[in-house]
Amino acid sequence: MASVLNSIFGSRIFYNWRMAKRGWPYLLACLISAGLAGAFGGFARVSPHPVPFGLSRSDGVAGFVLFAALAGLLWWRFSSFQDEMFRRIQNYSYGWGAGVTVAVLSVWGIAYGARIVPPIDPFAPVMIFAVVKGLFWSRAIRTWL
Amino acid sequence: MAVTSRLRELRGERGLTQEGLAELAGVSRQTINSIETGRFEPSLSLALVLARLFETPVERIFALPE
Repeated sequence: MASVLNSIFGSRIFYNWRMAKRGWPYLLACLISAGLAGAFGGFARVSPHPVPFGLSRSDGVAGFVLFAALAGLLWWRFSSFQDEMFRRIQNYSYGWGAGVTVAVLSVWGIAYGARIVPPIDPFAPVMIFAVVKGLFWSRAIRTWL
Repeated sequence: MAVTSRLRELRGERGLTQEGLAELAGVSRQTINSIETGRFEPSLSLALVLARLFETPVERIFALPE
C-alpha cells in the first residue's frame, strides 16, 4: 500500500504540492486570498444585477484587485521557501504566461482600434494568463522533472 | 553545452538515497533526480553545496564534456 501511495504522490503531477511542506501556511493563505479575489471578481461581473451582501460593482472590482494583489504577495513569499527547481519552473511558466497574455492583449487592442473586434472582457487577461501559465507549468515539469 | 554529473556515483559511494541527499542539500528529491539524469543543471550555489556535502571539489562532481 505504501509503495502504491509513494508511486502516486511521487509522480511529477504532485511535484508542487510535495514542495508545499515548506512555507505551506503562505500557500494556504494565498489560495484563500485567490478564492476571495475570484468571489469579488464574480460579484463585479454580475453587477448591475442584484449581488450578494449588497456589494456594488466598484466594491467587487476593489475586492478583486486587493485580494489578487495579496494572493500574489503570498505566492511570492511561499516560493521563497522553495528550491531552485521550483523557482525555475515558476519563472518559466509565469514568464511565458505574462508574455503570451501581453501579446494577446496587444493584438486585441490593435484589432479593437481597427473596429474589428469588440472590447475585451476585463477578466479575460486573468483567464488567459491562468491557462497559458498552467500549460507552460506542465511543459516545464515534463522537461525538467 | 551540457554539463556532465557524477552525482549518482558519489551518492552511491556514500550510501545515500536521493531523498536523503535532497534533505541534506535543502532541495526536493526531484531536483536531485533531474541533476543525476542530466535534465537539469544546478545553480553555482547548489553545486557548491553538493561539493561541500561530498567534501570534494565541485569539478569532481560536475564537468564540461571534452
